[in-house]
Amino acid sequence: MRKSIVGLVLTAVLIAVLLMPLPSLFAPSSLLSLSDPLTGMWGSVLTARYPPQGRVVLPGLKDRVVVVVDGYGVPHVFAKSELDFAYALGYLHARDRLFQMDLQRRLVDGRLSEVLGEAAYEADLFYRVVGLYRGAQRSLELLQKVARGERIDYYPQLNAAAIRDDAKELLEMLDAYSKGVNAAIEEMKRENALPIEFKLLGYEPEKWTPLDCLKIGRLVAWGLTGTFADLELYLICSALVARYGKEVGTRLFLEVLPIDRPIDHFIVHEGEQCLHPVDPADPPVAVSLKCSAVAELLEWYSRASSMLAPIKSAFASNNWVVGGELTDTGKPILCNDPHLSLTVPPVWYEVHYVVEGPGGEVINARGVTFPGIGLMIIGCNQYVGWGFTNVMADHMDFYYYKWNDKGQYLYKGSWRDVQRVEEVIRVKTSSGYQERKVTLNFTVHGPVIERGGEKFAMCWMGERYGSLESLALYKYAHAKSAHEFLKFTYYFQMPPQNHVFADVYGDFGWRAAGWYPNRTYPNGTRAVDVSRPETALIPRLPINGSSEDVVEWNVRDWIDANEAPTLWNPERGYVVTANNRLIGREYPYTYELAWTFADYYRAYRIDQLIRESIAQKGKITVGDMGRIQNDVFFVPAEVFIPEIEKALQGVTDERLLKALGYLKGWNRFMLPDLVAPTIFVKWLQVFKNMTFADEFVEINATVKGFKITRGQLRDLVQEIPTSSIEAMVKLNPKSKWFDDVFTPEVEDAYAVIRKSFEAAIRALEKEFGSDMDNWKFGRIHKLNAKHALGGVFGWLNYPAWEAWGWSDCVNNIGAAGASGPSWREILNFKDLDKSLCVIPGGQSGNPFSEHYYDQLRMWLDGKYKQMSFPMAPEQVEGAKSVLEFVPR
Amino acid sequence: MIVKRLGALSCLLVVFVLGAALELTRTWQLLVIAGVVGGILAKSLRAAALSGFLGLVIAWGAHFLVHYASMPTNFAMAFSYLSMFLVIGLVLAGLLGLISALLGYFAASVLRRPTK
Repeated sequence: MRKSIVGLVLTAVLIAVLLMPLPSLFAPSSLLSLSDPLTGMWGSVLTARYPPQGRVVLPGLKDRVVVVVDGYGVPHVFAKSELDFAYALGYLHARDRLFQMDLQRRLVDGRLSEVLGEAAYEADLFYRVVGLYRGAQRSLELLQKVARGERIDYYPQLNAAAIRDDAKELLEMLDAYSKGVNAAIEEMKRENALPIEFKLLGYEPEKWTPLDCLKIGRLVAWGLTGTFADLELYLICSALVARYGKEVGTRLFLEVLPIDRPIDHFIVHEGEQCLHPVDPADPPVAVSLKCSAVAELLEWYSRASSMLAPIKSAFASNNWVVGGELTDTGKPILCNDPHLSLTVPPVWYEVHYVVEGPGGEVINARGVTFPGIGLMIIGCNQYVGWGFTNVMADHMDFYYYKWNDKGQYLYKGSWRDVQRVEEVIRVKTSSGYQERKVTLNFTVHGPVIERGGEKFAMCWMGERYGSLESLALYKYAHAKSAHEFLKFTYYFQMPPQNHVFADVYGDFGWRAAGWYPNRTYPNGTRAVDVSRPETALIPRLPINGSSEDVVEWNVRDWIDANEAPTLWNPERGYVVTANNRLIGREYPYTYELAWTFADYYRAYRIDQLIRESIAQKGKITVGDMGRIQNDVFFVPAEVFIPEIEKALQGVTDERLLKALGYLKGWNRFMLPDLVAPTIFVKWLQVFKNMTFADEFVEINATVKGFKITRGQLRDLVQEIPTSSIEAMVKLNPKSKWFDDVFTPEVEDAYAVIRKSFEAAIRALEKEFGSDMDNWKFGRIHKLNAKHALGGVFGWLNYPAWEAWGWSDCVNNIGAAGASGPSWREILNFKDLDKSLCVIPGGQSGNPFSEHYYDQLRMWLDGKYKQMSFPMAPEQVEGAKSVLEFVPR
Repeated sequence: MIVKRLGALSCLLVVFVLGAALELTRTWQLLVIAGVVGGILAKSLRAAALSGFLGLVIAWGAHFLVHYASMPTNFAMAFSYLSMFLVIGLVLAGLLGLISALLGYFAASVLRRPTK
């Protein structure tokens, strides 16, 4: 009897332990919940694919919608209206990518730590300060104001009345899209089939709203314009000035980060630019800030940026369009490959749709969307197609002030209180949640970001002003010609993008569409003057917000998209953009367009390949375009190898000669089974380091107040444009930069090339052994596409296959293997059904789906799938599933 | 009330059928009931433990099999990533069955105590 009672008590306790819900993933109840065959993570398998035939009742839908899912998981949506299409798209996005959408929304809101815990707190705090969500809110308010026909104070030149109906339609579309997302969320909750990540993290998604769509838009804008480059440049510039004095320091600074690069390749060739009058301006303002604080801020920015940001660290893309006179089809061919982070699942979600537009006209469009935004971003309808690359626009300025003891800042002669906003960040802990109050401070220029005793106000367009690019995207799908498309680019405000476009009638062109801040002094004089290049530094360095002559954005006079550089059917027959410099000094706002540009190598190479193809065959084909998109010729190798040969003349070391032999016999292609690319990229890295790091190490040790970490030093040095060092070697080989400050000798470029070559070979021997034949490029360059939770659950990541290409190749798979062409499209305007496309991964975010990464190998091998535009469900080739969405 | 006490095999059948049915409610916590009932009916401690453990392991396993048959490719993929979770899940379900069956058995023993 006693035994039974003891047994009863013991087993009751054990049962209680098993059933007790605990926040830890490894608690028995959590493990049981996760492994439950019906409701646990296995439930996610049930949504891994769409059934061959299905009928979904969606309340709120107006008419029947048919969705045919093809062999790559791409949905082809056939709807009677755009609203129904948006509804269906929301449903599909949520079914395939809900976790990605939700995590990005949380990132924007600064609410990651609610689900990820303490590890995400610093990032949350950062994004609360930056205020992406405030920007999204302002965009929604802007759209609502435009829909009411109200005047917009900060865009006085905008004729809101002209787009009133469009804004209304767009708002309805975002609403329908959100309803579609919510219908899918409800359905998945009902079926216990929420994506596995929700189960692993133990939370459920909240409802989606139109504001959330705009939040995702803001995240993209942040990725493409939210740079702290002003602070990085300040760090470099101030360190050099402190060590070498103003004259030499500034000269050294401009040598590595020149305003006009000595060797470059512009989008607009001579004689193709537009002109605009410009006023004179004053010289730049001197600055003196605490470098250690700036370094701390940069560290914070870097950590926050690495937190799930899908776009960050990959400022690059290619697009080009060749007119019909130069193509074998007689019609334009347009290519685009935006280079973004290679994430799991991919950044893009592909969709094709056929609907009736607002005027009753049919829209047959296909392209890519961002999950979370119910609009096609890049793609084509039956008339016109387009592609984007980042302009690298300077939409971010930093202001510093004089502060008094009361915490007030000096602005235009008077002390002002900062505006304070209290917010709460909920942090997940082992025992529940902890609520932490944070205070956000604002000056007239924006939110105050503070570290190490230095404060800056961040003036970022994405936070301060609403913007209308969603309206532009909505209108692009309606464009019936390139001409009409160009008209709609006026509303594309941020992040400015190089739009290349073409239509089936044969017109094509380019516009650096976006709105650019016009910076002026209080008297209205323009601050940046093309006739005085030094003024280009004003927006590139922190601005004195307490100065009487404070430079500010003049919202009464934006440089709007209609004033942006534009080419229309250029005589040369084609346009190429690859984040390179847009235009020379003949364009009055050339210095206001961007904070920097990418090295010229990709644009130059694309240009060269187009000209070669035409010279060889007279015309260029879709096949040629595919080869260009996947080209892995490394222009820097072509540029530097002759210099390495020159530097190694007279060297007798057999190891060095053997390594040089690899380089001499190399065709400059970055292929995985070659040894030469490994030697070259290692050398380039060491060469940059040996050229620039010594000065900064010395400054770090000798200049008071200048302290940067080794990691920051490494990043700064590696971010110095390769074309700058190319120009130094070719045009100024005796530059002070080449002298090693720690040796008594005075080194020139060739001495550093020789030393760095020796050091690179030593480093490779240490890493891969002395047998050079084993130094295959594939060993150092692998795909590194990670899932947001891939650090803990490695099986969610894509396979680490050998990759080819490299940063600065046309096929720009970054050095870390974590960024690259996020979408490749080749639009053939003679027969759009013969267009091609591919994404790096798959349509589905569900790891148990056959579409998780079914396009990855194809993408890596430079292959494509057909990008067809069927007019009816039965015309979809390779249909795997036919879903019928019906109203309740 | 007189409850007929069963051997291990019969108890296992009861736990399995009840467990598989309760699992359809999508609340795994209810599986405790299957174990407890098995334990109450069991002739011996050993029969209770064995039927509770195996009954729920088989019940969960059966659900996995049904799923597997419905989407073999996708489940094969899932099992290849999550085989450890599959094993852990089955073991934990077995433990739940075992402990709840013992609970049932001891509870029945206490309730069946001889009257003076």
